[in-house]
Amino acid sequence: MKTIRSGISSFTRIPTVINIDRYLAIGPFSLFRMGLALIGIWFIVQNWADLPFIYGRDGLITGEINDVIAQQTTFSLQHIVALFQRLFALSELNAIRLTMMIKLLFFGCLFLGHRANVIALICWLLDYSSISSSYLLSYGFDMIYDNCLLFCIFLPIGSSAFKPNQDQSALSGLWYKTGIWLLRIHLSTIYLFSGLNKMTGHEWWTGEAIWRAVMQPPLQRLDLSFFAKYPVLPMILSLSTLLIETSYPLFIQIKRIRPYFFAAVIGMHLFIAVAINLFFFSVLMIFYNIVVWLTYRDSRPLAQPTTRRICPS
Amino acid sequence: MAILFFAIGIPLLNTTSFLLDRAGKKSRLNSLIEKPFNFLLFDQYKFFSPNISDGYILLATTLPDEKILPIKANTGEFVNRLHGVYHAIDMQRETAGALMHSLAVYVLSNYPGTHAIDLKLLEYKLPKLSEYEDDKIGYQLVYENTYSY
Repeated sequence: MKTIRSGISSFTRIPTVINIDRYLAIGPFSLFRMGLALIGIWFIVQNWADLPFIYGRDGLITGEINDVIAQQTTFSLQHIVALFQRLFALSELNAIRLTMMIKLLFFGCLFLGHRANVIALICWLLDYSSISSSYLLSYGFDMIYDNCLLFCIFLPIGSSAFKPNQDQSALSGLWYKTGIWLLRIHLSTIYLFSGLNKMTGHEWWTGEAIWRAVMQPPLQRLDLSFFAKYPVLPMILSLSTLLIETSYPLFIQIKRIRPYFFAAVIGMHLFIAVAINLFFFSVLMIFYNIVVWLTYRDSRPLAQPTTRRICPS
Repeated sequence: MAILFFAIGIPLLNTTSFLLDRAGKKSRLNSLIEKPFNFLLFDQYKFFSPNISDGYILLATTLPDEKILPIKANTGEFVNRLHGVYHAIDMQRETAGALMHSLAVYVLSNYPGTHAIDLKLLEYKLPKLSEYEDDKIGYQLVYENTYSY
């Protein structure tokens, strides 16, 4: 059974003295689904007070300006809000709150996993509509989160949070393996192209990029002005970022290097979370890496537990 | 599989694209190859690249008494997102006026007793690593206008 436990034990070589199957017998896709749902819920709850300013037609960027800049007339959250306003005679603020509560409800359902693929489709539509209505206020986190929800529509993401083994029947299937590779290629593509883009800028070669990222508002969170005295430090961080991102598709595949490379990637995202104040982005990327590389064993499947029935002679 | 994709697939696609381009055949196949690659490289995944953009500060002062109004934001996440708007004002001059107007509406709606404000968007001029000295950071004006209702 390919479970988180098998992935962790193969990754860290922890002797399986304790039977943690009982606690971690969740397939990678179930974990993917549940983690995404929790991140979505966490995001809405933490930013509850600011959501009307981000998504409202009379918010920070008015709906008309957003539509012109985004050059789109596609399905957006403001269509749903307008519908609720008409149906229930609500103010825009209350209609946004109602929409967000519905979004919370669907993320809760996604966590529980009943009819998970259909719920994932609804969650993706709601998330996509949110991005459409706040085009200028969106950034990398929104895009990657939206991509992950889109994958959830097609992947075998499990059927129940409380009966995680229900999705084990899909574990050996072709679609399961294809799904894992789909996520791996997606993650590798993100890093590779992000790294290649950085390589085209001169600041990433001199360490100036890290310096500017950690010393400017609104990203500045720590006082790292001592970098000016030791310019070799930002240069090391900068060149490491280029190396990690561009070589990610290669080095993460090599099993001997993987643990060290994985630690470097997680370290990079922890630095982003602590020093550059992009908390949700870092949490999402760390979670995505864990699901894709830590919870799945590529080869040598574990022996299936056998049950012997003692027949009365 | 992924190694094969990145090590062989992408260079193969690019070489094919290059050869078709050299042969002067702007074929449908060529555009099919180029478009996804350019989309990935230049549009989709360009976090903090090619360089790091400037930081910005929005300064709202009441008129005529010139009292500074803090820009209300409940979470750091919202502040991060605001930065995207400031960057767009600096980069897209044709829409800067409309965006600043939208920000002015936001500030005025947060301070109901205020009827007129001066709104300045300042660019944070961080010295280079080699030129940095403590407390010597300048600002450059990006956009300024007064708004009233």
